[in-house]
Amino acid sequence: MGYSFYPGCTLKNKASRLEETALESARLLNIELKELPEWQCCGAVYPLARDEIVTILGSIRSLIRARELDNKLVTLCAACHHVLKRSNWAIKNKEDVRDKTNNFLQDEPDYFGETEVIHYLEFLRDEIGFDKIKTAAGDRLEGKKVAAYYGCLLLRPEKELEFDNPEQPTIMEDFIESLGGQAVKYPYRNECCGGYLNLKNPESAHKMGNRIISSAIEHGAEEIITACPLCLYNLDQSFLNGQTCEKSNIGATYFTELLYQVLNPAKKEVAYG
Amino acid sequence: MVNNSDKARILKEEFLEISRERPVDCLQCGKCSASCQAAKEMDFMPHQLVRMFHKNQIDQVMETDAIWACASCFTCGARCPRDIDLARMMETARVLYLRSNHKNLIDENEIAALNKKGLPPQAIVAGYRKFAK
Amino acid sequence: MSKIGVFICWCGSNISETVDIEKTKAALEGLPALDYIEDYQYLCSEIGQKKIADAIKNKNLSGVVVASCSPRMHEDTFRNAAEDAGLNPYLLEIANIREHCSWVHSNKEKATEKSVALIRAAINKVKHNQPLTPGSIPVNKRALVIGGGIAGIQSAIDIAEAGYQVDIVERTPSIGGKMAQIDKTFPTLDCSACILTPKMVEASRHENIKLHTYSEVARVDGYVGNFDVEIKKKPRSIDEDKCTGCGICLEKCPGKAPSEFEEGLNERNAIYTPFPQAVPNIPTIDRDNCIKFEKDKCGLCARVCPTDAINFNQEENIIEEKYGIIITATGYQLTDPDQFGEYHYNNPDVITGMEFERIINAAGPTGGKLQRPSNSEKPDRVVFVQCVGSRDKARGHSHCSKICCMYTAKQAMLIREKYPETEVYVFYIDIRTAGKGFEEFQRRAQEDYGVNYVKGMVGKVFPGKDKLRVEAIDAMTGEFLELDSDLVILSPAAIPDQKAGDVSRQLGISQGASGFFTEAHPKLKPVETQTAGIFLAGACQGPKDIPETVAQASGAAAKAIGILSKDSLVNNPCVAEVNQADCSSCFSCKEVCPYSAIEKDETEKHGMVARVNEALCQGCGACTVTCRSSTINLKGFSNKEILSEVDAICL
Repeated sequence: MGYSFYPGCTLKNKASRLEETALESARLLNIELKELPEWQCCGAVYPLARDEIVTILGSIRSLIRARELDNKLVTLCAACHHVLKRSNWAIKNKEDVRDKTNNFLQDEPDYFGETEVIHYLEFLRDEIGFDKIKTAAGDRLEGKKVAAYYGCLLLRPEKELEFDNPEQPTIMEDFIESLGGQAVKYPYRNECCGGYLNLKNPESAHKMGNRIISSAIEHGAEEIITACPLCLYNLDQSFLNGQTCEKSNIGATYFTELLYQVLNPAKKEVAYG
Repeated sequence: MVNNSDKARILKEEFLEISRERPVDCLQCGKCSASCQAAKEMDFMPHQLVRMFHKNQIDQVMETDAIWACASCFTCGARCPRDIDLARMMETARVLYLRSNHKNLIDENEIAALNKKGLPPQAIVAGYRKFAK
Repeated sequence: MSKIGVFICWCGSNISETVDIEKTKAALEGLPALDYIEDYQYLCSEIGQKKIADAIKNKNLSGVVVASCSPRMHEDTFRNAAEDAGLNPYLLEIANIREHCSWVHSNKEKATEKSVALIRAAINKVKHNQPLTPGSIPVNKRALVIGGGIAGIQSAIDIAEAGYQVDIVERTPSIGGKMAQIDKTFPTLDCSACILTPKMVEASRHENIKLHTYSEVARVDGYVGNFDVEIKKKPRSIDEDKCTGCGICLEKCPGKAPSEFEEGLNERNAIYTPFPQAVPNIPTIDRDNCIKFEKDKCGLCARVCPTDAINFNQEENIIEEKYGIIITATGYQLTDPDQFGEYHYNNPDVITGMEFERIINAAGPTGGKLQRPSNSEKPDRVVFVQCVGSRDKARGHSHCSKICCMYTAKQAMLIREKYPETEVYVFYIDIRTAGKGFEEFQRRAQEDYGVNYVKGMVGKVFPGKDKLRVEAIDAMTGEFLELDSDLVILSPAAIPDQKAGDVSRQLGISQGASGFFTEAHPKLKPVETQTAGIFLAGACQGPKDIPETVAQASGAAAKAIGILSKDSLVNNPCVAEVNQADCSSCFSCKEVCPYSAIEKDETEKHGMVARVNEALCQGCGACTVTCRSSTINLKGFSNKEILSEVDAICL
C-alpha cells in the first residue's frame, strides 16, 4: 500500500507554499508523494444537514480513485482532511448515507469506506516517525519558541476525526520538538479563528484571531505554525488589523514551511507559485 | 408553552428530519454558549437557540443573526455533556432559511472582489456553501 | 389419588378485564383429579388466603394451583398459607395468568384460551410434585466488613455492639476513609476528623472488632452463613507486636513520595503514617520509594527504632478466615478531571474539591492557609465549577454525584468567612440540596456570605502568565463572563473506588452503570445484594453524604445481625438430586456446576458416583441439562414435572 496525495483547490492556488514545501520535505525524507490523479474539490465544508448527499459525492469519488490505487490518501489542507475524513466515516457508519451515495454514483463501483485518510502530520508521525525527522533536523531551530495553532477542523468532532485529544492535543508540539524547536503551549491553540466568517463579518474574525495571537505571545511564542490555509489567512488579517501585535515581530507560517526550512541544508529557496 | 400550531409542528418535523438531533436532551447548562468564540457577536446565545428549537420556535431562530455568526467550529458539540451536536442544529436553521426564502446571503458578483482580497478558494467555496443555496 | 384445588384470582380487574374467569372455570370442569375450583377478587388478601386454607382442610386437597400474578409476587404468601393448613408448601404451584397472560395480551378470547392452557399445565405439574423439606445451613457468627471508612466503621460497631465478632479489612494503612481527609462537614460545619476519630478509636478498642489494615481480600468462596475468605496482609515491614507508635522512625527517613492523604499536594516519607490520628498508629514502609528496598542502602529507621520493630524481610501473609456474612463498604473516589481538558487540570492552580479540603484544613500542607499552589499567594478570586463529569452522557457519567452542590457551598462559605475580601463564584447547572437543613445551608452561602452563584457552565479555563481566565456565561441574563481568577476548584464526579471491580468479581455481586454495586431492589432492598449474606453500606452503592452513609451502614448491620443471630438458616429445597443407581459416573455435571456443589461419592452399592452438596447447590439446573442419562434432577422441577406441563399445553 502506498500513498496518494490529495491537494485540494486552495493548495493549487493561494496556498501553493503549503503544497510545495510539503512535497519537497517529503522528498528530502526519501518519500515520493504522488498526487492523486482525477481528484475533485472536496467542497470546503462538510454538509451538516442530514438530507444532503450530493455535496459529499465529490469527496467520495476522490476516495474511490484512491481505493483503485490501493493507496492511503494523504491530505494537507485541514479543511480537505475534515471533509474527506468525515465523508469516509459517514459511509462506513451510516447505512443510509452509504446506500444513497452508492445509488447516486451509479457509474462508480460501490464504495464502503475502504480508503484510509490520513493527514500529513499523521503521515510524518506514523509512517516516517518523528525520531527520524529529529535526526534529519539536527539542531537547526536552536530551540526557537514555536507555537502550534491547530484550529478546529483537524480536531473536532473527535469521534469522527480521531486525530488527537481535542482539548489537549500534542501532535503538533511533538512535531515542533522533533524539529529542534521549543513547543509553546497556550490555551487558544484549539479555539476557532473565525473560518469563513471573514467573508461576511471580518471584524468578528479579527477579534477571534487576535485572541489567539495575544495568547501565543503571552506564553512566549516567537512564531506560530498552522495547517489550514484559511486559518493562516485569518491570522494574517488579524496581524494587520489587531492592536496587540504591533510590538512583536511574531509571524505565522505553514508547518511544512518550518519543516522544509529545517530539512533544507542548502537553504534553497523554493519558487513560490 | 410549546408552540403547537400546525405550521410550527411541520417546521419542527423538518428540523428533526434534517438535523436528527433532540433539543429535549438539553440541560440548559450553557456550556456551549460559554465555549462559543463567536457568541459575543450573536443576538441570541447558542443555548437559548436550543431552548427555542425545543419549544417549536424554529421560525424565530431562522430570523436571528446568530445563526449566520456561527463559524461551524464544532466546539459547542465537543463540550456538551448531553452529546448534542449543536453545529448540526445551527446548520439546519440556516438551511431551512435558505431553502424557504430562495434568497442567498452572498452573491456570485462578490467572488471577484473576494478573490482580489486574497481570500483562499477554500473560504470562498465555504462561504457559498454556507450562505447560499 | 390426586385431589387438586384450583383457585383463580381476578386481581381486581388486572386479570378479569382480559381473561374471562367464568369461561376459564367452565373449560376446566371435568378434568380428572380436579376436585375443587374457586375464584375470588384478591386471593392474596387474608380472606383469599383463608379460602385456600379452608379448602385444603375441608376438601382434603393433595395439591393446589393458584392462577394469579407472578410467583415472584406471592408464591411465598400462598405457600405459607398452604403450610399453615397442613399441606406441604411445595405441593402448591402458581399459574401466572397476569404477567404471562392478561397483562401482555388484548384479545380476550385468545387470552382466556391461554389462561386455561397455563392452568392445565400447572395442574399436571402439581400431580407429579413431591413434598419437599428445606434443609438447614449452619451460620458462622462472624462478620467481615470490606472497607474501613465511616460506612465500614459504623457497620462494624453496630454488629460488635450486638455481640458478634467483626473483622474490618482496609487496603490503606489506616481506617478513616474520605472523612479523615475532609476539613468540615456540611451542614453543621463540624470538624470532620473530630467527629470521626472517636468512632475510629471505638472500632480499634472494641473487644469484638479486629482491624486488618494495609490488607486486601484475596479470595472469597462459600455461601451465606459459611463464607471462606483469604485475606492478604501486605507487608508493612513493621512488626506490629513490637511497635509502640513512638514515631522516631518517621523523622529521619530520606525517601520521598507524593502523599496520598494530602492528594499529592505535598510529600511524605517512605516510612509513614498517613495522618497523625491514624488507627492503628503503626507506620508503614512504602517499598517502592524506600531506599533500602531500591538500593539496599540507608536502613536508618531500623537503627533508631527503640524496640527493634522494623523488619525489612517481612513477607506478605495470607490468612484464612470464615464468616457468616460480608458487608462491602469500599466507598468512592473522584473521577480524573484530565478527561475534560478544557478545564486545564494540568495547571497547578486548577484543583479538585478534595484537594481544597486539604489546603483549607489546619493540619494540611499549607497549615490551613488558602494559597495558590503555583506561588503560595492568597487568591483574590476563586471560581468553583460544578458537575465536572457528572450528568455527562458524552465524556463522563450520566449520574448526579449528589454531594457536590453541598460541599461546594460549604467550601465557598469557608473561604468567605476566613477571607472576606476574596471573591467567590460558583458556576452550576442546578443546585441540589435535598437533605435535612441543606436548602437553608446553601441559601446562607448566597444570602449571608455573598458567594456569587451563577447558573451557567464554564466553557474553558485559559491559563495566562499569572491569572486563569475563566470564560463562562450567566444563562439567566444572557451575559458573558470573563473572570481573571487565581484558583479554580472543580467538582469531579463521584465514582466507585478503584478496587470495586475486583471486589465485585470476588464476591460475585453485580455492578451497575458507572460501577456502583447493584442492590437487590432499588426501593425495598437498598442494602442487600442478589447474593444472600452479602450487604452494601455507603458510597459503594451510590454517591451519598455522611448522614445517609451512616444510616445505610446501620441498616446493613441490622440485616447482618438478622442472619448472625440465627444458629442456622433454612435453605432452598429445590436443589439437584442424583439417582445414584443410574449414574454413569461421567461427572459432566461436576464440570458445569458454577457453585462447585457436586462431589464424587465413593459408594458401596454403586461405585464412584456423583452427589450433590445440598448446602452449596443453588438450584440453577445446569447439571440437569448436561446429564446425558437424565439421572440428575432438580427437586421441584424434575423432568417428569416439566414435561407434564408441556403435555398439558400441547396435547
